[in-house]
Amino acid sequence: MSPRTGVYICSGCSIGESVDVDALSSVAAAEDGVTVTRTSAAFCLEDAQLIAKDAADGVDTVVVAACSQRVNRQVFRLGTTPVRRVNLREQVAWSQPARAEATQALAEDLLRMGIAAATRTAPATPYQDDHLHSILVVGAGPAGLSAAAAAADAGYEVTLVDRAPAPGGFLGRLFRGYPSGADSHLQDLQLESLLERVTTHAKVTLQTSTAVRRVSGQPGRFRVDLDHDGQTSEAEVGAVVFATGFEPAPDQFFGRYGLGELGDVITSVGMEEMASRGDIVRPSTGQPAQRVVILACDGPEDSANLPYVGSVTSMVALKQAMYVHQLRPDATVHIVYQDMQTPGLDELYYRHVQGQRGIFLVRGQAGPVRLQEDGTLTVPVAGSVLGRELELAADLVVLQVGMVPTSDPRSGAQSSLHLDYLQGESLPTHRAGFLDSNFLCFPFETRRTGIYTAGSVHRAQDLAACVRDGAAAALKAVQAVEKSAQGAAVHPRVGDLGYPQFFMQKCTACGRCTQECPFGALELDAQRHPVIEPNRCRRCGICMGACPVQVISFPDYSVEMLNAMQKSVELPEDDDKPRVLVLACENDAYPALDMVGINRLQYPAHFRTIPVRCLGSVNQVVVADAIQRGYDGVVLLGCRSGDNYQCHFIQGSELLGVRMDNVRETLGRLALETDRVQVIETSIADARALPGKLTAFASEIALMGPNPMKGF
Amino acid sequence: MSQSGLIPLPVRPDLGFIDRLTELAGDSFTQCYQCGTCSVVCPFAFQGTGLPRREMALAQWGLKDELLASPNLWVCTTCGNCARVCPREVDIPGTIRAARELYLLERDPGRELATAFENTSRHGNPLGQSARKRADWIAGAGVEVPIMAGLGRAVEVLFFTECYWSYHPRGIDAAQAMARIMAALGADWAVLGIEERCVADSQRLAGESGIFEEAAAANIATLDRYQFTRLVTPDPHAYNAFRNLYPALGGSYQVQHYTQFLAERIDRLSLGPVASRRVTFHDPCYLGRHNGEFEAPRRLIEAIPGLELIEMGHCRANGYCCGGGGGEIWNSGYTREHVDERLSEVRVREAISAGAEVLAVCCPFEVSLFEDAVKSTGHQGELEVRDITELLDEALGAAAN
Repeated sequence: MSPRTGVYICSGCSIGESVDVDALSSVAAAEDGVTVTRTSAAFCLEDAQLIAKDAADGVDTVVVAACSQRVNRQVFRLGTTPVRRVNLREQVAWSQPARAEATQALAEDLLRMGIAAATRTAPATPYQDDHLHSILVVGAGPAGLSAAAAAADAGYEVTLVDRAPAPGGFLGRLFRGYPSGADSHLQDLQLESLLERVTTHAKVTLQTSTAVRRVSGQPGRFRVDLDHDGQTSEAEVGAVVFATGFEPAPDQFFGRYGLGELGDVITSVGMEEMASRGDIVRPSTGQPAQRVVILACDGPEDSANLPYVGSVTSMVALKQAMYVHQLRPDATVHIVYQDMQTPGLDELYYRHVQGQRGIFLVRGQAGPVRLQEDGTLTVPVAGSVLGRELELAADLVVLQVGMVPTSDPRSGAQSSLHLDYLQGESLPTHRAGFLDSNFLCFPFETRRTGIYTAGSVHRAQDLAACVRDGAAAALKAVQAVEKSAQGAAVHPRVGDLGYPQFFMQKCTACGRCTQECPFGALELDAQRHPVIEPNRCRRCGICMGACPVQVISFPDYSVEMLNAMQKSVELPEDDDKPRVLVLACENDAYPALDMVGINRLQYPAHFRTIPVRCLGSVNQVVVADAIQRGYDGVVLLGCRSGDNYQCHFIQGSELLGVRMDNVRETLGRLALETDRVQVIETSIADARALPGKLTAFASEIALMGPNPMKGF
Repeated sequence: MSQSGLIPLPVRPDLGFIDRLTELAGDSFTQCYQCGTCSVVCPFAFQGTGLPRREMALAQWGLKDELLASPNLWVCTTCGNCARVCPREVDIPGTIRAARELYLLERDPGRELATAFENTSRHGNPLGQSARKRADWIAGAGVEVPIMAGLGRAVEVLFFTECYWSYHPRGIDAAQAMARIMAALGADWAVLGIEERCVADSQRLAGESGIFEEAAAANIATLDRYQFTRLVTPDPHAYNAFRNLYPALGGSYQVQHYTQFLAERIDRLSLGPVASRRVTFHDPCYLGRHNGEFEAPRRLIEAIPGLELIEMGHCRANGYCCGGGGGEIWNSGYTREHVDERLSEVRVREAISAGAEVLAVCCPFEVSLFEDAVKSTGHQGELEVRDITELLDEALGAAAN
C-alpha cells in the first residue's frame, strides 16, 4: 500500500511573516504520497486535533513543518504513527531574513527533505523478551550497601555479593569520618546503620566471600556465575550495579618519601589503623610522636603515578591532623600540600582545622624524607611563599595515598565482572582508570548497558558521596530493567523502540560494526555475522555508520533515508546559490543551531540540515553521494572529541575522524578539494560562535567555486 | 643547600608566640592560605619584598625569630590594601602591628622611630616641638580662632588640630586656611590649644600601644571637661582612633574628618573661580580604605570653579599609599635602605602621568611627603601639592575679590 502522508505547515511564531506558507503547501502537495496538506496559525494549540483526526482517518505518516523537533514533542506525538518534524521556526524564520528568495528556497528544501524522510519511516516493532525485577550489586561497601537498600526499597530483589568475608568495604579500615557542612566534629562511620538497612530487608540476599566469575546476557536478563569459596552457583538478574570501590595506591608510588624504608613513614591508611589503636606513636620505637608531618603527595613527581588529585585526599589530611590534635594535644602537625581541595562547605572544615593550635598548613612541595642521626626525620619543602626551602623536623611522616579504582589493573585488588562479551570481559574505563562514561551527562552509566557504577570505582569520592552514588546507580539499574521490559532504549534516546535490523544476505562478515559499537551490543554468530542483543543497544546508529556495505538500518533511520533526504534538495546551477549539506548531531549540534535561531543570529541560507543521531552514524556513502551529486560542500556538525569528549555515545565524534579520512580519499579520487567536507565541532554553550564558523565555511566554498560535479 | 642556594630554614613553631599574636591581633592570621594575593596589591609589590605574604606565613607558622628579624616588618605602612583583597579576610595590618608590639617588648626600635616615640612621650608630639607652642599657628590665621579653655561654654565644633597642622610649616598653612573657611561659614567652633596632645595612632600602628593608651587617657580627660556637639579633625589617623578605638576607652564622640564636615556645608561657602587646573586626589588610606570615606573630599574639589577633577589609576578603595602611614612618616631612612623607591615618589609619577597639575590631599602627612617627592623625582614646577583647605581658601579669596 502506498503511503498516505499528511503535511501540516504552521505559520505561527513568525514563520508566516518569513516565508510564503501557501507556496510551501503547493510544494508539499506535489510530492509523492502526500494526500493531505493543511496550514494553521498555531498547530501546537487546538489545531493539533486536526492532525490527530487525519491520522484516525487514514493518514499513516505525518510531517509537521513548524518549530524544532526539540520542542512540543508531546503535542505532536501520535501513538505509533511516525511523525517527522521540519524546522521552519528556529532554523528558518528566526535565523534567515524574512521574505527573501533564498529563505523561501531553504524552507521548500527542508520541507521536501522532511517528506522524503517521513515516507521512508516504518513503525517500530519493539523487542520483547521476558525480564527480571532483580538487581545484582557487586561490592558491599558504602556505595553497594546503599545501592542494595535503594533497589530493594523500589521493590526489586537484590543479590548483594562481596568477595570479602564481611561487608563494609573500606569503612572497616577507617577510624573516623570527616564532617560535611557546618559541623566540625569527626564523625562516627555508622557502618552498623548502613548494614542494618540491608540485612533486615527481606528483598536483599547478602553473600560474602563471593566473587563474580562470569556475566552474560543483556539488560532484563543477565546470567551470572558466582563463586562462593570454591562453590559455584548461577543467578539471573535484570541489571547490575558495580561498586567494588578502591584500593590505596601501591607503596612503590611513594618510594621517594621513604615508604617501606623508613619505619616512621606511614601511609594515611596506616594512620587510620594507628588512630584506631588510640595513640600517635613512632612505629620504630613505640615512643610518642610529638611532631607529625602529613604530606599530601600531590607534586609533579606524584602525578606521574596518578594523574589526578581529589578533595578526598585533602579532607583526609585535615581529618588526620585532627586525630593527632585530639589524641596528643601537645603535638604539632604540619600538612604540606600543593593544592588544598575543599569544595563547597568543605571549606568550613579546612578553616576549622587550620585554626587549631599546633596544626600548620604549609603550601609547598615536599622532597625526599631524610633520616637524622638521632633517628628522627626531616622533610624538605620547596616552593613555599618564603621563596626559600624549609625543613620540617618529624617524628612521624604520614603520606596521603591516592585512591586507585579496583577497575584499574594497577589496583592491588582488581575486580571484574568477567563479561562474556565479544568486546572483552572488562568494563571500559574512562580517563585515569575510573569507570566513568560521561560524568556530565550520564553519571553512573558504564559503557555496558544495564551495568551501572557507583562509589569509589566510579570516581574518587568520600563516604557521603558514595552513599548517594549507590542509591542513584540503583535507580538507573531499575530504570534499565523497566525500559527493557518495554523493549525501549535507555539514555540518551530514552523510550526509542526501533533497533538495528541487518540485511544479512549482503553482510560480508567484516565485523566492523561489532567492534565499533560503543556499548558492546553486537556479538558474532558461528558464521561471524553480527547478532544484536537489543536491550544492550542505545540506538546511536554507529553500527549503521560503520557498515561498509550499508546493510544495517533502523525502521525510522537508515542510509537510504539520509540519501533520499539529501537528494530531495534542489541544487541550482547558479554560481551564487551554493548548497551545503549539514549533517548535524541532534544531541549537541542541532540544539546549537536552534540556539542560534532563538538568539536571532543569522547565517548564510546555503545550508540544508539533516539531524543525525550521532556523527558516528553517518555512513561515508552519504557524504560521498552528496558530493558526487553536486553539493558544493558538506559540514559534519558535531560535538567535542578527545579527552573532554561530549559525545553522548562516547566515541561517535572520534570514529568520525577515521571515516573522514576515507571521505577525503574519495574526494581526492574525484579531483575535488578535500576541504569541501569539514567537521565543525560545537556545543550548545558556544552556539553564539556557530554563525561565524558557518559563514567562514561558506566563504571557503565561495573561493573554491561551484562543485564541478553539479549537473552531471 | 637547597635550590635557592640558601640553607633550608628549619621550621620550629613557637606556640607561645602564636598565642601572644592571637591575643593582640585575633586569630585571623592562622587562616592565611598562602595564595599571595596580598603581595600583588601591596604598594611595595614592585620592589620584590614579598610583603606581606612572607610575614603572614612566618606568623602563622610561629617562626618568631624570622618574623621579628624581617625588615619588611618595619617597611609596611599598614595601608590595608592587602586586607581588602585577602580571600581569607586576614587582618594583615593588625597582625603586622601586633608583631611590632611584640618586637618592641624585647628589642629597641630603630633610631628614627625611637626619636618619634620619645618626642611623643616627652612633648606630646612626635616632632619634638614644645607643647606650649601648640597653638602658635593661630596668630597668622587672620581670623579669630577661639580656644576652648577661654570660652567657658559649649561649642558646636571642637576642632582637634593634631600635631602636623599645629607645628609643620605646610601643616600650618592648611590649618590657617581651615580657620578662614570656618570663619566664612560662621561656624561655632573652638580648638583645644595647648591642652591638646598627639592622638598617637601612628605610634600605635608602629607597635607602641603604650604611648597611644596614655595619650588617649589624657585626651579623653581633657575632652570630658568640655561640651561640644561634634569632634572634627584634619588627621585621618586621629579620625580612625576617635572613631574606632576611643569608644572602647571611654571616649564616644560624634567624629568627622574635616572633609566630611565641610562637604555637608559646601553650599554655604561662596566660592569664586580659581586659576583653571587639572586636579587629582590622593585618597588617604585611613580616611578611604580603612574608614570608607571616598566622596566628601571629591565633593569639595568638584565644588571649586575652575578645577577639573581627574582620577589616577589607583584611587578610592585601591588607592596607593603615600608611604607615611603606620609610623612610616618617621621611619623613611630605614625604609629607604630596604626598598628602591619611596612610595610618595611612585605616587607623584602616577599623578603626573595621569595629567594632573595639582595633587590634592587631605591628610597632614601628605603635603610634605609629596612635595619632597616632586623634587626628588625632578618634577619641580610640574605638580603643585595642596591640601583641600588651601584650594577652598583660594576659592573663597577669589569670590571676595
